[in-house]
Amino acid sequence: MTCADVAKNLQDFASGDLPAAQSGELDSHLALCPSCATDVKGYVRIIRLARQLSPPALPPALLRRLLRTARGRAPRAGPPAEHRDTSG
Amino acid sequence: MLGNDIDAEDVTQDVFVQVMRRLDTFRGESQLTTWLHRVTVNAVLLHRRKAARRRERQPGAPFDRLLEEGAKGLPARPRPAPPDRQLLVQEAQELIERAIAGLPPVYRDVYVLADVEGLPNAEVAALLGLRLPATKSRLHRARLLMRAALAPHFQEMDAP
Repeated sequence: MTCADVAKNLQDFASGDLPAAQSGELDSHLALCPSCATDVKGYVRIIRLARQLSPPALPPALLRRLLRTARGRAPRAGPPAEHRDTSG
Repeated sequence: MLGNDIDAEDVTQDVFVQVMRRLDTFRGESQLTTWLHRVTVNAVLLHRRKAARRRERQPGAPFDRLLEEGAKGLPARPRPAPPDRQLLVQEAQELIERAIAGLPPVYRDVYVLADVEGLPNAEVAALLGLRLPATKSRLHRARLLMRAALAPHFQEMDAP
């Protein structure tokens, strides 16, 4: 396997979709090629780092906006029909 | 996906309103999260199209440009880490978020949905209206761009 082959198969290798035989060849190449080893390590690392990102917290001001919106759209809570004053 | 907090908050508000308005149209044929992702991605794409049209109408509007470019340069807001994910130090988190914000939108969309949100490629393709090979190709390109952007910082990230 050449360096170009490594680059071509990088995505499938990282996702585990590369057939075992090719994956083994790629591993053998990495053991002998520090440049490809660095590239592959960096690629795999990028995938892992993305999964370690924390989801965004809702900023308090936005939360207040959303609550105002929710209250504005909610059906008005009133007394049950039998308790409503219909005299006026 | 939008690359800045101001637009993200606007779209969050839009999505919230849409979800409240359209929740009764959710038929339960897909997972609620899939439906929410679809509503959100559609809102993001619509927001981006509107912003592009605004820019076309006012190509030189300095305030818009300042808002857009200025916001992009801002560090991301500190965010609490969920318990199931290994904590990234704040600096690393900001570096990564800045790198994501710097990706061209066509790559950023795929990267965020696939790698950050962890959606399967087929689902990302369906959400963005792309074919699967195009989705994989964009994801690969996005990762290469991210690797290039972050490679100089990898050692810093290793520091405790």
